[in-house]
Amino acid sequence: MDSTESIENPRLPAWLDSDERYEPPRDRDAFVRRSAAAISAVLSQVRRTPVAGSAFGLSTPVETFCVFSLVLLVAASRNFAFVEILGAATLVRVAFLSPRRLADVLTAPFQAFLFSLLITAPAAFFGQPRAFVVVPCKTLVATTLIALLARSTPWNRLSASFKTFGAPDLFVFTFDLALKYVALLAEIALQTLDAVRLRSVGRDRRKGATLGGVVGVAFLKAQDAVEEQFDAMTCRGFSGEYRRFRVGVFRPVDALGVAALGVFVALFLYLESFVR
Amino acid sequence: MHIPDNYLSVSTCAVLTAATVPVWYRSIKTVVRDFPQERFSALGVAAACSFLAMMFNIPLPGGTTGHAVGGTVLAILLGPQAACVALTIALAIQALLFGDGGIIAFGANCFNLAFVCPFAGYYVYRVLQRFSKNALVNVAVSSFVGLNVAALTTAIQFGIQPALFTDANGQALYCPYGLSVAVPAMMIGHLTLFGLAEAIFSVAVFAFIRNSAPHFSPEFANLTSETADGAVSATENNADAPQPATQTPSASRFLPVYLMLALLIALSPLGLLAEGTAWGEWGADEIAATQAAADGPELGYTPSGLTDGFAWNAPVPDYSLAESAPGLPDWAAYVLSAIIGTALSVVLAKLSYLFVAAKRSA
Repeated sequence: MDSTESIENPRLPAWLDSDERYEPPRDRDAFVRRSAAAISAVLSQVRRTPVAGSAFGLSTPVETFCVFSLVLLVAASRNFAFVEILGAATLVRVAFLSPRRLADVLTAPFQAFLFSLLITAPAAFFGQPRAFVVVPCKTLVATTLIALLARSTPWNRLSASFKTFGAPDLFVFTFDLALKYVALLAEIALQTLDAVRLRSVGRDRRKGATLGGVVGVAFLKAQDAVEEQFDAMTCRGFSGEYRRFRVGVFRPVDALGVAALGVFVALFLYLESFVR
Repeated sequence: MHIPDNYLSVSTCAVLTAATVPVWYRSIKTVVRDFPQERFSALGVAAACSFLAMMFNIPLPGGTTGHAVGGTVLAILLGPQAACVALTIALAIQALLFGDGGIIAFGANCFNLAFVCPFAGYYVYRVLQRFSKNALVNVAVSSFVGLNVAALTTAIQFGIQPALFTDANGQALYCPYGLSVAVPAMMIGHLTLFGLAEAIFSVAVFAFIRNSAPHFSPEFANLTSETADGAVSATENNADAPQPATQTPSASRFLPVYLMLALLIALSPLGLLAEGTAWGEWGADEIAATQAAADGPELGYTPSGLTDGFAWNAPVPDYSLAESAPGLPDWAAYVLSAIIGTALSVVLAKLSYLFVAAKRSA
């Protein structure tokens, strides 16, 4: 309808006749989107926990022990040769993974590597260029070893291996529950973030403030869930004591693993003797 | 044959890089189209193989050294485009990690070693196959030709520098030796020892793959009637399979290839026996004392492009850990470098599969 016609038409009020086009200002929900994406990424990783397997073909307790010892050695070594040798060995192991597993294992170590490059960058300008190389390389080797272990060992086996090393039951219980609840809490947080996004129309500058709310809701729900879980476990006869039903078998290949660890320890001691 | 930084002017490097870009584009496109996931292991192994071949330095009387490249045999086994990708990966690792070959000159090195060498060798091989069915001889001849064509292009790139870039005193800014010096100096070595080494290396790899792991290469589907030695059984078995390249080579089927890499790694310290630097790869500290010919005068000055130019501090310069890691003998550092380079080649090739997969699904 043409506007001149409506002015001539006395029955239609003028305000109804004017063109109206409501365009809400573009909402800035980058914070919500990014948080949701980050949580989804964690969630997908948690859910992708391997069903069975191991990084080096050893039984889980031996493998956990070896990997943690090697990480300690890398951290303690002052001779870069040791880091290089262990790095080369790790790289060879990694090279046998399939492309997707490879990316899966290497993503986190590479991020850690870049981060440590960033924080040691000032060392290069203050006359310590070696630290600029050594620290990131140590980080890369250590995190790759851990990632190899974590990405190929089912988590319930990891908590079982803690028990093998005589970790207190409370620790094993907390570790076990934490692993199980990471997935649950991530889901709750995702749902809450969805709710926040759906309820805000137009530009909402206070959305950042809801972060506390999201975390708070997740925390409260976690509290409830853990209590319920503990009650349920008590009802089923859980006395707070973890028992391993299957006694781990020390296979011949485990002896090989321990021997390899021994070689690395000897190498470490030998190479450290050259550092003044 | 790795051109270090500052031996070619930046403009020469830019031109050669620009010339290599379409080759990379075509090669990557071909690999994306033709290579299933399992074959990316083969690509990594190819890169590793070439990386190791380049670690075996061969001394030449007169103090220079050279090495095989393996470009032609990889092109024959996997196709020239895949060889180009594999060699580019190997060259990148050498340049970034080990300081072998320049960063600015990376495009130039890829032009010579990842484009000219495999493509020239491959097409010579294809022509030879029409006239003779003796694959081993064809591999030997074509790899010899491939390496020498690459050496010639490298020598020409070196040789045109003093004609194009000099300072006010007439001293060269970059490589100081003209065509009349660079071409003979490069070609004498490559037409004799290094070419021979390339031919031997290529034939050895070709024969080994044909006998022990024919599924590694689609090439062996073509070799139907072979009269020579024990290759008959391998090729005949293979002839039954319609397309061996698309079969799934499991890790165990690749085992002979991995063993070959392990053997090459174990032998790599032989490369240390050769003392001296390859022609055209001197450091800024060496060049003033170098001689154009064995009995010629010393150069006597350091071209200013070399002293003032870009210098990349590689983490493991010249495959040696003498500075950063005391207590490790040279041979151990060399083996370690070989292991790191080999494993890294395989890892990078496998990671590039993810890029390919993303491209395919897009």
